[in-house]
Amino acid sequence: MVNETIAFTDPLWQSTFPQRISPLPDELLAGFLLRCDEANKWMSKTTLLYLKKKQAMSCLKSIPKSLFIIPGSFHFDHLAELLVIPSSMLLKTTYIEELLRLNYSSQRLYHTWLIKYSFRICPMCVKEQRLLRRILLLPYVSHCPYHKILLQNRCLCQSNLVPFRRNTLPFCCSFCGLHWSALPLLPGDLYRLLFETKMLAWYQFFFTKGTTTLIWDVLKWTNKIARKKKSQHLLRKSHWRKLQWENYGQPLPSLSTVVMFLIACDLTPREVPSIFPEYQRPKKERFLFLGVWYNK
Amino acid sequence: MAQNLQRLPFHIQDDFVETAFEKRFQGILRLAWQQRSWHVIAAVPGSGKSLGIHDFVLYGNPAKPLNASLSLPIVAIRAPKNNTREMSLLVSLSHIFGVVPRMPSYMLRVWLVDMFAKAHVECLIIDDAQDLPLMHLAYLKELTDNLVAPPYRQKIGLCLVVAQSGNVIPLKDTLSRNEVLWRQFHRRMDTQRPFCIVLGHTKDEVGDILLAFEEAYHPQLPDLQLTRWTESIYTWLTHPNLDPDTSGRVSMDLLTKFVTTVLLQTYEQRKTDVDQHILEAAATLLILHRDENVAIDKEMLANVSVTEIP
Repeated sequence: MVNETIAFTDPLWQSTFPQRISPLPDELLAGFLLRCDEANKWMSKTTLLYLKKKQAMSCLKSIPKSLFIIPGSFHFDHLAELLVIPSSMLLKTTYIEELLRLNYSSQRLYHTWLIKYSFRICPMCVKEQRLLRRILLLPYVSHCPYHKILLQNRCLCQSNLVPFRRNTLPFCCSFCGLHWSALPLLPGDLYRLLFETKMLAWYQFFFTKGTTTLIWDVLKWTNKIARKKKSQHLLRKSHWRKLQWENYGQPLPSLSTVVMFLIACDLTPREVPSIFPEYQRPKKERFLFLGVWYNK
Repeated sequence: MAQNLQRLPFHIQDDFVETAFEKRFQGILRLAWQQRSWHVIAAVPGSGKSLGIHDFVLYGNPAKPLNASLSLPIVAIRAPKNNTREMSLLVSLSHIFGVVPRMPSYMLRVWLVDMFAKAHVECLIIDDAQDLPLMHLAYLKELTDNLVAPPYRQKIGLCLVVAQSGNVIPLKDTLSRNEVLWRQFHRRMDTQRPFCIVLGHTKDEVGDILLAFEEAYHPQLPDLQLTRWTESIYTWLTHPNLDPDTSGRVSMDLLTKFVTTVLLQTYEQRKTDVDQHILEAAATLLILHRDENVAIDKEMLANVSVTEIP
């Protein structure tokens, strides 16, 4: 239950931030913290350092990356109390729930995603809504799927974009102070966009419907197809060996590896329901009225 | 016996009563709010200044909504006591908005200006302003000047509420000094009412308050009639021991204490209305024996009735 307005006589007034905000749809936790700083007229990293101090989050040695990848060390409850919003809204700024459902341990994730991760933003998303999307966490994403422009990871002054830096305004370059919304809007590469669209479709599929069983079923199905097509030349030998599983006892490969493999096999999520009817979406019930079909 | 078991403890009513003093006091506060004017407002201790300020703040409909701008038109704080560091005033002002992470004073000064502008603050009230050191007064001028300047262009009213003693208004001498800072400060004071003294209650106003007490305590003392004792109560409460300035006015604090003492005694004696003996005993206690030492022993504790704390 979200407390929309806090009255002055309510004790919550004294125990909450001056400006309360809630996460935008598909917003990244780091972006939410920056928006909180901006709404309260604080410097970047103020909210994060306040929470770190209060909760003694000593595990956060490298704040930006570990915060993105392993937000399990982050105390959502305390931040939720300061804003009087449900913790579940804050959890949705991460992929924790989806990855737990897929049975990926945070440690595994740290090693696989962290290597490939670099902080990047869409200037248009920042300009319109001060939004950093969750998909920015995913490996190999280099374009904004909504604005079809290249993501930026460097400022015009050539310094790397860093989300949290003291004595810097939120959403600004820590070196020259340029606002991220002023970064150039570079058009994306069409073929790369198509590739990333397929990739995001698979991520979306696994995040919404995925379970450990589903991943194994899909991999075994693709194994058969790949053998038929003799498409192992599409993959490195090391990858091909990894995918030679016969039972469920083996540890799962990384999600990005699974997705890359599925794209390499030229498969789409739409084909999955035809192979596995149990993952089929229920048909919408329709009825006919005066010659027109309506959905129930 | 059954009657004894059913009798509830005496319940002290502490609802805010809009007395004549509060109307006068809040009237000058409202003037400062609407006209964005500056005043030093004085009243005797115990007159109800702090309660009046707490009630007045709610007139601005302060609200802290989700995903919308904070609204706090009237900011009221109490002057930090025994602390001459500038940071103490900055921290007091920042805490009125809620949880604020610790930051250096130079950042807090800038943040406060931003936040005052963002929350659309229109009036700033400092209670117990007689305790403000000179550097706090200088900071208040700096804060208001920054808000008036671009880009905010937001003029705010300022009320320094002080406790008066005799005819002396604290801060008046300070603000009348010849240094440039105080001359600038003095220039910003309201032209017609820069220094105000809000007077206490006259005899008729005491009668009105006693009527309000009758209504409030009617459920517990059905036959209560206080207004017929207005003259006597007024005379007692303007005794030189209780009114050293001989103003001829009664403060709300004294009147409330007197009435509460009388009603408690009446209730404990299982009466439904006050009588002369109880009134005289309470008056004697307040006027003559107020500062006496009272010995507490076991027998006395057993005889004390427990009153429910609201």
